[in-house]
Amino acid sequence: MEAPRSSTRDWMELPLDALETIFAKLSAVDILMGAGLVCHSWLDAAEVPSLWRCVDMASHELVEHKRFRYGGNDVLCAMAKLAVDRSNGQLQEFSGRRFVTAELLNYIGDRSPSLKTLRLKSCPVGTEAFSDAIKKFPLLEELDITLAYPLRYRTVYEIVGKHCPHLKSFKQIIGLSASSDYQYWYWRLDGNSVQGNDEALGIATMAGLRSLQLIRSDISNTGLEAILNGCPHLDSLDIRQCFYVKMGATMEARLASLNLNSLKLPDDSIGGPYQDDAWMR
Amino acid sequence: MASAGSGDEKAAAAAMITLISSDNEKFEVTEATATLSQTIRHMIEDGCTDGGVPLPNVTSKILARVIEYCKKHATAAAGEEGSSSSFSDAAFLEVDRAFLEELEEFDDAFLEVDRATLFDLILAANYLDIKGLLNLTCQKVADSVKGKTPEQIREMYNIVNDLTPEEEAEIRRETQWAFE
Repeated sequence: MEAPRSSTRDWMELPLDALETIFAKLSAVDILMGAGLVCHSWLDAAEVPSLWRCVDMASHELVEHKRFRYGGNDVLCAMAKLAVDRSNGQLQEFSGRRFVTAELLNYIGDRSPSLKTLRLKSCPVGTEAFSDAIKKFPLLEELDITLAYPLRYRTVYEIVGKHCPHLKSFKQIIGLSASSDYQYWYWRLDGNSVQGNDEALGIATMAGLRSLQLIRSDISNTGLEAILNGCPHLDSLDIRQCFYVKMGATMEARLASLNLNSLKLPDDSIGGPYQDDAWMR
Repeated sequence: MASAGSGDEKAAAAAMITLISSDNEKFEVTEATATLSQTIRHMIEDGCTDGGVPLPNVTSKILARVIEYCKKHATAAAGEEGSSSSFSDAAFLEVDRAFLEELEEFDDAFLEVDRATLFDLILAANYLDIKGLLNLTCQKVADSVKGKTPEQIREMYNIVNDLTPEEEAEIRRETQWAFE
């Protein structure tokens, strides 16, 4: 820091509005571990519920770091719970990663009736626990379960479709190594997979979808057709690397007739493979 | 930027406002510059700016900096409006980008101040209700405390820990991770 320290200004005396503006630019983790514990007035500012409407615990570097330490996930879950408490029922957006447990999901669900966005990258929560918890988010508009393999089931998607009628955006990305790491999909001898189209039938129940990102799924044309029929309001579709979808004249005409604002097809570029892979971990 | 200049001149012809600092220094500014402050905008709307606007909370040193910020940003805003009709879309985007880059450079240079000045600028931006300036100055503070422990932040900003032992015990229980 090039600026000299100043003893002539009392930073405890910053008006609450200014402190709130500062805290609004910090992540939940930074507030909970640092700035929010400095002194009385800073603690007061850190407890303003509106600050906790959007809690992003997915992108802080410490989230990745702590994961490897004993008890790290517990710490992150405890932090997330405190963030939920402080939101005082106003939580609208939550982003978590591997550390999210079923218990945390239920904790959020029981206290956040107005949650609109839920991002659970690589979430290890099991099929049943997730199905129970997701019912607690009736106003959900955006769901991102990228790399959350235990949730790749038609039944899970159907529960989402039924209990989250306002869902507008759904995102599922399957990792490059999914087939070797996980046994959640299986291949038929004729090369067609069962999982992908089953998944598609589940997505087709999310009738209000405006935006769907389904990357590297093994859906075929049949599955895609089911989705297009079930989700008539689709405005944005991204099925990059869904290589079992065969683009022919019929499928092209079908997609063109939808007048989508944004369309990404199986062969469209997904960016550098290494970069992509790092981002997904 | 020719278009920026003409926008400023138009505003200058329209009206001038006198701002008076706590140490009684007078600053003449255009209405376009002054109304970046919502507080002053309301005063103008209420017709109570004749004879100047006294700002008892803002010293001349800080007011001069605040006006410098407002002038630059008012010019940029006027320039954007003025140029949009006289360029093709592509040319406009080019001008727009140049403006934004220049503005960013200005903001970066503007923030090169000591902590005491930064503090005073935050207070002034808050009092005068200048959103852009408040965001800019608060961002600098936010960036400086990112990833820091409470103790590091106290040291950096010379803040005395005024939490009672009981409160601290309570916080430690609630937020033990910060002390691990």
